[in-house]
Amino acid sequence: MTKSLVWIFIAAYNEEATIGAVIDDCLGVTSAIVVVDDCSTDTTVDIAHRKGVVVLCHCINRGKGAAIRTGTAYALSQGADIIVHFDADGQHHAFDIPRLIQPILGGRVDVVLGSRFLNGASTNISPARRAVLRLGSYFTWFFSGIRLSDAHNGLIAFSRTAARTIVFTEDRMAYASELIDEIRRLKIRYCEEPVTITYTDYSRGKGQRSSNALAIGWKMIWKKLFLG
Amino acid sequence: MTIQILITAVSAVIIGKALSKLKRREVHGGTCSAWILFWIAVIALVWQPNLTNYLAYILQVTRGADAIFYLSLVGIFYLLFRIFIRLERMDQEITTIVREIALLKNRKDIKS
Repeated sequence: MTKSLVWIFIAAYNEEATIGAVIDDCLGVTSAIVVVDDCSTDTTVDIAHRKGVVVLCHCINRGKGAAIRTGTAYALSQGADIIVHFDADGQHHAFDIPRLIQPILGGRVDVVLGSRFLNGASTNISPARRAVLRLGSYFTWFFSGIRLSDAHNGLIAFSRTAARTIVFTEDRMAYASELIDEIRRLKIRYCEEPVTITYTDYSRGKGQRSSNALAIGWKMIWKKLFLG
Repeated sequence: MTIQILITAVSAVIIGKALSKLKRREVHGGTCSAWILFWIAVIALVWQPNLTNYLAYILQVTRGADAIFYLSLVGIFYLLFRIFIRLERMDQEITTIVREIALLKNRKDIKS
């Protein structure tokens, strides 16, 4: 499999401080990069355009789940064999990508989920955040029946088959829980790989607040109870 | 008596509006019929409050007013549920449109 068949997808919303460096980092792995700008009001789009990558723009803000569907549709239309989701806030590192996609290249699995808690992973996460993520993993385990060490890590690789099969309906951050549901529903082969997550003041400010976990949890419960 | 006249007048206006919407085919016949029946029932209950006792008997609650309260609660929650589902669907439709625009714009940019 050639390098160009791996597409990196970056969802961005007001990320002018980091998007340039994140794209530069990813360009070391592949030039096939698609940035989906979710209606930023800063210079994110201009910076991404200057880097020479594909930039798709949402005319109104629809959330990360929606951006993922746009990026995935584009990458699939370009013949991507593997699609890697990469965060725009600088938490992720492109040096993890070759290891992340290895199980897919080997034909062992169709989805590889990055984990900051597996052996070999590295993170400077705060204890409070660690506790919230642990709770999130238990929540996902309870509702989806899939036990993961890190259920809400944005660094994920999909084979073409998985990317075409998985159907997201969640526009906002609850897409992460929905993804796990889909893996179970469609019986998709998956595994976790250790990745490095570097928290900075910027990424802490941009990332999900721990209180949002409650909103996401509530939404998933509501959908399970009433929408099936 | 004043409240009875007021509720009857409001109900009549709502029924009139529903009928005119039905005439202009802006609402489904089934939905409109249910809506009109509901307001006819409101008028009937306002003028014949003893009818609520029959409802109370069926629902096995003590007072007619309690029966109306419980039924209203169920009705309101059902409406909330319907609104939630409709909003979810509209949200998804908006996202689909936004995605199509983003992809189309990219294709157009490549061509030009």
